[in-house]
Amino acid sequence: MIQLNHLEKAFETKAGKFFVLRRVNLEIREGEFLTIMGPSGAGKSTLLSILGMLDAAWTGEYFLYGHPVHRMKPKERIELNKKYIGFVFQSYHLLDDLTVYENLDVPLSYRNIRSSERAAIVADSLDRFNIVGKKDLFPSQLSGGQQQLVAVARAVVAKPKIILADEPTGNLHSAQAKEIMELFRKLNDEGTTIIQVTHSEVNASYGHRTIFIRDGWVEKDKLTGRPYATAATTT
Amino acid sequence: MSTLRYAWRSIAKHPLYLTLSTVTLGLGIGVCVSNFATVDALVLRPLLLPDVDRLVIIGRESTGGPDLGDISPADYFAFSDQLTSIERFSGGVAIEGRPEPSNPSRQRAQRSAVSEGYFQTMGIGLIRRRLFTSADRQEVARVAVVNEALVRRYFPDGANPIGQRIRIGLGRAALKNPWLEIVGVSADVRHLPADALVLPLIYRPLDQAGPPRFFTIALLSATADPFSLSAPVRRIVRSLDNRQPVSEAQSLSTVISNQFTGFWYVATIMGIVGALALLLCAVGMYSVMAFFVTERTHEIGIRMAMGAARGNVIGQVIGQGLKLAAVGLTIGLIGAMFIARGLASMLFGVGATDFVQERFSCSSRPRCWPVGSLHGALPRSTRWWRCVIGK
Repeated sequence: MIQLNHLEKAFETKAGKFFVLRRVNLEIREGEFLTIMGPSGAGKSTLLSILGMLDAAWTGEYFLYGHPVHRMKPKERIELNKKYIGFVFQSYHLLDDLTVYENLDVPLSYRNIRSSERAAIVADSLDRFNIVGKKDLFPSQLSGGQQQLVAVARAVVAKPKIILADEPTGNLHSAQAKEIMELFRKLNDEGTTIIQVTHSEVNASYGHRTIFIRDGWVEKDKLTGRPYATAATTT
Repeated sequence: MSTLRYAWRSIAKHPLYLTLSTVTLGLGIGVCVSNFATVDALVLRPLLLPDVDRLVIIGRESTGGPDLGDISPADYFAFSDQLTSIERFSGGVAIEGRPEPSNPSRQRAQRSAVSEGYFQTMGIGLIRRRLFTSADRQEVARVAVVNEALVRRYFPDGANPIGQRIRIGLGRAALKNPWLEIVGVSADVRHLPADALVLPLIYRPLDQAGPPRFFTIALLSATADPFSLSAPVRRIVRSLDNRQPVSEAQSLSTVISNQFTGFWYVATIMGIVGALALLLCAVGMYSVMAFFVTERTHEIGIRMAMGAARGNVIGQVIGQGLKLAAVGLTIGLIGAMFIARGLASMLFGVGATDFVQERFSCSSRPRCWPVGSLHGALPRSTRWWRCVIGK
């Protein structure tokens, strides 16, 4: 599903080229729950941005469902992003001036879906995540856990095949974190591929596989916690 | 609708900034619109006289003594045979069958003695019945043509002015003046550059009004170079009376332009101020937009992660700018209407809603601009002029 070949990202500095990611070769299978771990500044979030096509300044090859992302124009990448990817951020990143309902509507509004259909989809999502009663509240009126719940709902509202989660429980206490991770597991069980960045071993245990990144290099790739039917490999 | 609601929420988060920016924008647009309306009226808008560039004004100057008092009756009749002239005065007017007002200033009208071809030469339209003809000479009944302003003011009850009689002057001293039968109504003409009001005006045939005290000759040239007519005119005047110097041949547009020098200067200054206001508006608008975009960089990033394309983001930013501009524009245009209302009472041609009307409509009837300031004799047409040369 995702194939990275010799992917690199670097910045030019006065001291020379500074590599954020080095020769990353990675294969991620459909339905996999992958955890990316590593110290701060290792390049975890950068890798996630590249996978989400938010970052275009890199070299190497990136295939997503057979589409050669590395050869695509920005507009085509956006279309691919809209079709396959949903994002969950550490700081929730809900739009403060929009209500819960409107926040869930945002991804759909960029996907050529009729407003009546959008309303039905949003209503379904509110129901699915048990946040119907909060649909008219603004993010500032919600707790951290509730905000992240809305953020997850927003990420999946457009039915993406892949969810990219950047430290999704970083700002939550353990009970809330558990709730969110259980939700991810549920989504994964339903067939959604999940790629999360985390520092937490507990969170990593929800996934099938963990890769460790240090100084831009993929250092380790191991199967964890739950078994995954099809083996995934890195080279 | 949700985009509108959202835009309003994000703007409303900074009420002070919003108020300041929209008021500044409104003021800028208001000043700008008012100034350009004035500049347009005074400088840019073409003169509304037909064939204005083909009209030539040739002044006649007295070489000494009282102002043109040296014109002899013979000269006058010789001129009047060949030239079309106008002479203007102002005074009280009596209307037959109606009581005279106790205060003469309440029933005043300007008077002009004009020849037969005057209206055609200047392009002043006929509204009712007829203009002067060659039959309106001394020997026949005294007649007059009045303008629409006189009819509006002194026949407000809708009475038909045609056939009614008016007399120039009020009181016992005026009893010796003859009654003039109104035979026609002409279109209104403004006589001063910035006249807001068109004054009531009575035209009399030159033959019946007596010799003018001063005059200017106006010619309508058939050629592109109207000044080619000045030499033949000088020749003719000299042949009639070689003591009469003829000078100051200039096109009507130059005459008007000279009268407008002061206005033009003011209008230019106002135009520059207007342009500066426009520039300030643009800078203000840019800074407002830059502020909002900077403020929303984070949000833009999130939206792009949610699938927003570049066009979506640009559209949203521009949409928000347009909403601000719409608020500013509304405030500005309302302000401009009030400013223009004040200007309209002082300046002809500047209307409170000029910025709307002048762009989207046009008057069905031609209006005439400062004509009365030409105290003069006007040849009827080029065809007439050729006849004179033939003589």
